Amino acid sequence: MRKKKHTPNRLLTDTLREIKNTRSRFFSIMILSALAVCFLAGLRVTEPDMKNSVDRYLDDQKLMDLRVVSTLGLTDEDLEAISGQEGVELAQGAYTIDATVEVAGNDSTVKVLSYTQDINLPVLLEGRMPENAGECLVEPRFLLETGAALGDTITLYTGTGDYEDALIQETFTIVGSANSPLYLGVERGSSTLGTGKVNYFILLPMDAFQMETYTDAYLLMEGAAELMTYDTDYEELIEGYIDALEPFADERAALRSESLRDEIAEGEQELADARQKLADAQAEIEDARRELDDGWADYQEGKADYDSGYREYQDGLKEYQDGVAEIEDARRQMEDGWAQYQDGLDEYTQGVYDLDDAARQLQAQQDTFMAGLDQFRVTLNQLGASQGLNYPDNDSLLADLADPDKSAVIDGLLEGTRKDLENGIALLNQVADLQKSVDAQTGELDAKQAALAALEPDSPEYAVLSQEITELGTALAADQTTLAFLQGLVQSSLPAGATVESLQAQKSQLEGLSAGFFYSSYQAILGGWDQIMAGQAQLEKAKKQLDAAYEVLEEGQAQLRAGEWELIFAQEDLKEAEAELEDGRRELADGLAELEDGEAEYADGYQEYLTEKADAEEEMADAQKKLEQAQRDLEEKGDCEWYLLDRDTNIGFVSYSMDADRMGNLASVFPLIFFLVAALVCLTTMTRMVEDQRVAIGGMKALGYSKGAIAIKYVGYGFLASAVGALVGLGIGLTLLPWIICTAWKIIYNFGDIYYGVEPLTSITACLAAVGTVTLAALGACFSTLTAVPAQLMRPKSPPMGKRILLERIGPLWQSLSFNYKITLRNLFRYKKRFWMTVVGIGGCAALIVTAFGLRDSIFAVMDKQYDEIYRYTSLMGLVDRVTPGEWAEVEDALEESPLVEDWTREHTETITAESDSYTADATLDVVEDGSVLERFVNLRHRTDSDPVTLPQEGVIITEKLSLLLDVEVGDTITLDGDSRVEAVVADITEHYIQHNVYMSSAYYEELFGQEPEGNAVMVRYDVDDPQAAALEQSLVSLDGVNSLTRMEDTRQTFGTSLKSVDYAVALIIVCAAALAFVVLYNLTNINITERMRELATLKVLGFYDGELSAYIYRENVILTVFGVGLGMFLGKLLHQWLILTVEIDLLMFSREVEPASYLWAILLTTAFSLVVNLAAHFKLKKLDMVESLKTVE
Amino acid sequence: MAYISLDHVVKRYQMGEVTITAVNDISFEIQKGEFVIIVGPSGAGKTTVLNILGGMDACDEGTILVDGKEISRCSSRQLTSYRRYDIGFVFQFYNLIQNLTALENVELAAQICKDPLPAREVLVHVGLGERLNNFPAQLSGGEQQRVAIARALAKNPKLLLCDEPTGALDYVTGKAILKLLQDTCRHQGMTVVVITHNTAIAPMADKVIHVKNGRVDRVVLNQHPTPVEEIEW
Repeated sequence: MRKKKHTPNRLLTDTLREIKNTRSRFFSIMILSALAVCFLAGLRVTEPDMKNSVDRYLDDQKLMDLRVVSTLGLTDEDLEAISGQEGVELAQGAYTIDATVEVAGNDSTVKVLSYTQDINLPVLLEGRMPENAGECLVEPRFLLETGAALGDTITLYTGTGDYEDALIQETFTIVGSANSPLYLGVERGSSTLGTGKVNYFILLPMDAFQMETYTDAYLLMEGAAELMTYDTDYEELIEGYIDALEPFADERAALRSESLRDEIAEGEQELADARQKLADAQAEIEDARRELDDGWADYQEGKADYDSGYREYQDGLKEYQDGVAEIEDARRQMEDGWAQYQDGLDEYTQGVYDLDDAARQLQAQQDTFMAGLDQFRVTLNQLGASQGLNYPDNDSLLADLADPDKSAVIDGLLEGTRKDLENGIALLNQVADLQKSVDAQTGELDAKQAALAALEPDSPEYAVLSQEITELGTALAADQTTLAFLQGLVQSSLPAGATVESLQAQKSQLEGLSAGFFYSSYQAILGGWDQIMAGQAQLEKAKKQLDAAYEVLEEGQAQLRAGEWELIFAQEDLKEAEAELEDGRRELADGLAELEDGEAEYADGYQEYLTEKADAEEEMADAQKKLEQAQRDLEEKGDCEWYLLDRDTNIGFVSYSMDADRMGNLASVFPLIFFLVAALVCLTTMTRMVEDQRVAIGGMKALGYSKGAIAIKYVGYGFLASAVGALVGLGIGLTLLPWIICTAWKIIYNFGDIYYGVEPLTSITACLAAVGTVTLAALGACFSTLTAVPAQLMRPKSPPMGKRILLERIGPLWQSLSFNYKITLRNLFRYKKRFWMTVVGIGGCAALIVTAFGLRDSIFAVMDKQYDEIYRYTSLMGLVDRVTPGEWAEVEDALEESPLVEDWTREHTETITAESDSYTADATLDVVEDGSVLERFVNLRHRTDSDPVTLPQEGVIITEKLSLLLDVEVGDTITLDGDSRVEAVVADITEHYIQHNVYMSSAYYEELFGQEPEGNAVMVRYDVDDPQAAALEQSLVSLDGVNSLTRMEDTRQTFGTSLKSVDYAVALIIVCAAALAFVVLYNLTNINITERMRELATLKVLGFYDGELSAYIYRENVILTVFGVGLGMFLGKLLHQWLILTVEIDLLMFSREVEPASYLWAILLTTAFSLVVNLAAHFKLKKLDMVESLKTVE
Repeated sequence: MAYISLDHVVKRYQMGEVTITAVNDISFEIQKGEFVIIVGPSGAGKTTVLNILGGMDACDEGTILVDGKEISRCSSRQLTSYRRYDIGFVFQFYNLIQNLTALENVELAAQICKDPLPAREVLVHVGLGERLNNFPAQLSGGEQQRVAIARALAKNPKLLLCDEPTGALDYVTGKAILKLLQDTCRHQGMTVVVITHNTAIAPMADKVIHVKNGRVDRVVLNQHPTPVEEIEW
């Protein structure tokens, strides 16, 4: 016992090793389970995920649960009353109006909505929220399609109807782009403006509206947010509320009608009162005017008197002022005269003084000169005594000085004296120098003599010295002689006592003296005296002039004084007059002030009157209009009525629900087929596995293991593989698939984050189904095997009997087959189970691929067929309402003249509702002249046989999808609800894919509606790819008569985008189907090889080449694939037929056909997978061990 | 020159980290038309010899010559051709294709040969003239083995290799099969090699090669082989 405890469970070891050794089989089962669960759970969960995502989004954005619309608008009291009702969590008034906006020449029709932060919250995507009433939010598509940008200004025209003055202004600045929960999808509803189709919505703050009443009230209901909006719970809750609110709504509506009538009566009374008041005020103001006018007349008279007096006074004053000016002038002249006279007098006096000074100076000069002359004369006399020169007095000297000869003598004398003095000085200097030399020699001699005395007489020096002394004594004696001569010369030629200094002084005394000098000085003095005499004469003359001037001045002064008196009298007179005038003036001013006060008062009064009048008139006009409006409303719309609308009336909300349902439909059967194929293959794989292990099971059983214990290995194997696969598949399926599909739907629907639900029921069912299939298959196979006794098991299972197949009975055919094919065919038909499983497996996958590609074909063929084949016109031009003949002529000319336009016709188009007993759908009504015209622009034909369809004069042609929706056939009658309700006979049904059309002739229109159709649109055909096309379009749109131009190409692109979202789902299916096909083929081939290992090994030993051996298997595979593909094509076609009807939406008809290319793709893909799998098998066979053939049979 | 000769043949198997020498330096010769029995206990390497001789496996060392052709140097494809044209193989468990009748099983082998014997005749020759169109499941073990022998013979091979041909058969049937093989050798000059662990049947051979532990223990030549009928075991 103890030992056993320590031994690992060998059953477990066996199982684990089994998994390890058969990895590819294990993974095949795992992948198949994963794919099956992923696809089933994933697609099944997509619908609830789509709905939940939107539910959350709508809860977050607080989308209204109910919308109340009143035919006569809603008042604040109405709202208050609504709020008070049970179950109403929030009630808010809102405005919804239609407008047209023009961007880049194209008119678009827009819904203009008010928004608040309490309900229907917009989701800001770009920019910011509006901060004032002049700013707006647009939807992102608006920016994208019109080319407008944030910050641009747009102008909203609200038409001339109910909404003419609904907005406080026309222009708004785009500050952001936003989505609104009110518009989930791309549909924007309809309008009475433009072409009738609303293109965009625009959000404005509440205060941008100035409407009397709200157009809508949005309600949030209690307990609604908690419920899933697409659930019946929610529907029931809201329906309950509607039922409860219905009586209240009727009551309020009646109240509103009544109060409106009261208001009308009241308003009329008020209007009359106001008119009376206005008349009274006018009379009053007219009286005041009259009084004032009288006052003005009086004032004017007084003013005239005053003016004439004033003019007189002004003249007098002028005269006086002239006089004063004259006197002033004269006085100034007098003063000038006197000043001039005084200046003359001063000048004269100064002249007298100056002359005296000059005379005195000259006298002094003369005296000095005379003294100098005296001295000169004495000197001359001294010097010239030797030459007989003697001047007794100055006069004689002056006489000689005047004579040039005499004066030359004098100058010579002076010059000689100066030379003598210079010689004397030189002589004296020479004597002095010589005296100094003698003194020096004497000294030297004495010194030498003394030295000699000291010396021995015999000595040589003595002799030399004595010789020198002798020589010196001789020289000295010579010099002394010379000196004595010179001293003698001094004594003779020079006065005694004369020194160098005294001689120098004498010389300097003589310096500068000459005869000319004295003569010219004397002449100058004489000239001075002449000048003084002349000055005296001038002065006397001036004195005489001065005296004469004085006389004249005295006389003028007397005259001036007389004038001054005269002026003083005149001034007195003027002053008197001025005082008088001043009085008059003051009187007038007072009068004027009074008048002006009166006038101002009147003006104020009048102004007041005018404003009041304008106000009153405006008010009255408003009141009048309102009254008229109210009256008209009452008349036209009858009594007020309230409508309680729930979310099901919101187009986007409903169409999303339908699309989600469609995804649900897609998920109902499609993945089930997928799942079945996968399960079938899993099941086979498990069964084969158990059967392969027959001998091992027998051995185990012989060892004494219980059935359960043995079975657990296989059951565990299957369970593990499928459970792991299922969980992985579930994980991927619950996230990736909803993500791909929701992301795709987001192209045409605006909602928030994707919600990934688990959907426990679906998930668990899918997992259980996958795991259960595999596990139960294992269990079943085990038990059928286990019931046998061990001995039987240990023996090789008798292989299925070789049998003759049916084909062999057809002798000639069988004989003609090659041996290889005989074997192959017999093999194929011997294992019927394997045959069917493989054919169904491959067929299923091929069918899925065909369906997926076919789905794509059907969806995209729509575009090509609709736009390339059916529509023959390229653009639709919308004309303005009630186009005038002039405007139309312009349009006609433009179309006729353009070389680009190939064809055009004017038609009437409108959106109508087509009804039958079973269904109601919106459709476009096109009215043209007759069938031949229509044919030029629309290709009418039967879808199935392409037979052309002609529009008859009587009856309508409807498009195919509309006929399907309404469930009508040719000859049936449908109701058209347009301007009026009429019944029309369906004459034929035409192929058409996008939206619904009803075509009829003008004549039939007139017959039905009783009026001529208004040609409000033009169908045009031209080459849109031509470079001139854009210019043509622009020129057309710019015409007055043209409202809009829609290019089919643009519509095509818009549709193309929305169809893209379906394409994603299709791509997903293609990938999954392809993956499944691959795994199935791989698995089947694998089984085929594994279970025939021994046979193959034997063939190899027999000498089959690798190629032959592979071919042995391939032949079977190829035939199986061919059968499978054939079946797949057939199944695919069926599946596609069914699926296309399931996923189709009301607005579209998908093509019912699968393109040959899609079949080809399916075949190619399946074949390609088959080839890849065969290639893998080839390598596996190559490695096959021949020893296998020697083993005992297991 | 012998018809078949093995010269110092060595064959090793790599089992994970262990190298097992299944055949260790074996040499022997077989003459054309000889009936040879290779005998030895389980694990002695006789099956390996069969595999190598039958072209199902290549040897690591040594040379093998069959009718002048060096088998030991053949490529995988040449080996297949060798099996195809030169070898007839008889398995212990017959290895018939269950889906083919007796005749068809023989035809299966015959159709890939250059110069096959008529399938029907061969079957008649092995005594199954009455059961040509029976499927293997409808035949007894002995009959199935006869079909297998017919299949091998129809190829008109140079060498008939039999792996324990009586291993799955009872005594009487086994004897009959051995008789068939011996007759084939004697009457048609076919070279037959039988591999068995049953030493009792050794006397019926022209040459008995005893294999033990991967080596040739001894080679016994019977000058006078005993007819099968006289052998008891």
